[in-house]
Amino acid sequence: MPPVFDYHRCTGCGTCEDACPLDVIYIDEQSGRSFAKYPEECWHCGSCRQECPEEAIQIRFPLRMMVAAGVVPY
Amino acid sequence: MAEERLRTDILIIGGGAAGLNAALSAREVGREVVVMDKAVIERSGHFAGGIDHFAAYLNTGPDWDTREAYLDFTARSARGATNLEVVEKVYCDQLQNAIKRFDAIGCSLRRADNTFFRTQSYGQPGPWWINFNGKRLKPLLGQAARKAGCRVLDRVVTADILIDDGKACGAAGFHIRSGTFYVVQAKAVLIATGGTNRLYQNPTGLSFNCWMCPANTGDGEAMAFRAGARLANVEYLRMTLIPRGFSAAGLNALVGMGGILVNGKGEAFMKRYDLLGMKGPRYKLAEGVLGEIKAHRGPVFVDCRHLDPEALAHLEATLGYDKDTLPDFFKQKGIDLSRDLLEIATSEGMQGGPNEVCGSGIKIDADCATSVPGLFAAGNSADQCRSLHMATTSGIRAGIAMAAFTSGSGARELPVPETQLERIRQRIYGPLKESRSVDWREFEDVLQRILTEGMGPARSDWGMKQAWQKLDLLEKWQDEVRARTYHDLCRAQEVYNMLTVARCMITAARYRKESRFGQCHHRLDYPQTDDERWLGQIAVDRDASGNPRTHFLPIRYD
Repeated sequence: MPPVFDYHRCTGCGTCEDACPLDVIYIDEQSGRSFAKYPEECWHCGSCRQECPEEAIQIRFPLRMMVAAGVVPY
Repeated sequence: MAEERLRTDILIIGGGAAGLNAALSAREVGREVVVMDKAVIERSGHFAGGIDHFAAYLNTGPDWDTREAYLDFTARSARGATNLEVVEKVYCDQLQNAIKRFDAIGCSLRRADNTFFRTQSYGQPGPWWINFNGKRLKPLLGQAARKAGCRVLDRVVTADILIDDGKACGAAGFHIRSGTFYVVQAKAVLIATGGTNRLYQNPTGLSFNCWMCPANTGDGEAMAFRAGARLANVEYLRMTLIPRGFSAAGLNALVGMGGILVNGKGEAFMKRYDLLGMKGPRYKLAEGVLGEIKAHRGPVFVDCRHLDPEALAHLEATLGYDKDTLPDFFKQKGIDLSRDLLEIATSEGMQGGPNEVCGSGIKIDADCATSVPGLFAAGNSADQCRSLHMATTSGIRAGIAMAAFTSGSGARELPVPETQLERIRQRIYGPLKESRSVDWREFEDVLQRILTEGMGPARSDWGMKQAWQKLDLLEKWQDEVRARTYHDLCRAQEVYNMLTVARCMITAARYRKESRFGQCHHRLDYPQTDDERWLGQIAVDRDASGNPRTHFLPIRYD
């Protein structure tokens, strides 16, 4: 479920939320941090990661894509 | 529901390469501009994450590097779909302005030493593709549009064009977070919303894992159709080649840098399918891969191992410019292009024109004007435009033409068609009703199954007729689609538009009783290309009851 957020780094600044062309990313009202509210609507375009000022975002492809591509757990 | 009303000279729907270039050109001559986009324009639409290629002839001397060569190639490779008088005005005449625009916004197509890195692919007679680092193209374009004084409505999805007395006079939509209803009155309206994706089943079963941007769902084409405009070239199916499992852009870079398709026996096979081999058109490459798999010679790979280290380094970098996360995918898959073969598969189907120099969608003339007065179209949502090069040039052309259209019209009354607005409100907020029973995902899944089965690369009249009947049934469920959030309301809107586009596609494809452009329109019942009867476009517009009807528009190529 891409993107994956590193909550030690994420400040909840909302940059990734604005960068997402699919409206996947929201700021959680309780924690004040980013989360993927609609992970199945991610296009893996990497806009959020490119814009994140804290380098807090990693891309983790969905299992269906990884199995289709023959990727094994690491 | 809260409501906001605005007035402007020019309303631009879709803040991508076409829309923002139109906005900048209209601002240059002082027009007031409003841009509406369903996301935030610095990272919205197909180039959100980056782009790495732009097609241009540069007049450097050789015959292939000229306007004549470009038009000759377009006429040959998109024969029956391209209209050269339009291409000259919306591409050739604006090409130099487009290259300057890239420099002006700070995203040059040139390398540090002021030269262009050029590659060749897809049957083109020379290296027309300029490779460049376009990872920041969208933020730079978006910032330039704001700086130029455009009023930007981010996260506002457009529902319909407002029509008064047969003329476009604005548009209405809603905010995908707050639900606020927006009404923008304008003297001229541009549709620049990209193509139609998520229409066909994805090989991974993940609808949003698609080649082009999954937010581009034919909203503009469907709105134009409802407004009475003509669509054209919508019968053509596009398929491309992708790394198995990831519907990522990158084929142009792989082929352009010299990658070779090989089958399970390690044989390079493309010469069997096209005289140009690896330099053949995209649909031939897809045909070759399907052919090898069908002949039990799969799986198919792309082999880049013979490339020299410099070329490989360029290839790896440019793949990441075109699809930011493709290098991550290779890494997780353990692929090193200098050492490993990369398995290739065919992508999901898409609605699209025949190739990189001719599109599909709203029919435009040389001013980017549609058949509805005051309504214009550009970029991938226009029938003649495709790829970044035509999105940029047609945007500039549309901006100039709309500025001329609105000049001296300062006193024009901008009526508000309140009856139409009420219909739009009823439709767009309908899915929020508790009583509705069908999730938009379920609706989309059924639509994709119908098109994949009946409107794929092997078509027949009975198959398409069955698909049509099923779409008729599906349409009866349209008023059952539900949404629990405003985000989902946007998705409900998208599947509604996808269904409209699907109906237009089938109507045109059934009417064209011949085959053209290989698997783009392959009729099992009419397998030959018939230029005597079918050299031209099929235009689709709505009849009095709202159903699609066809018109054949012959095109002459002298």
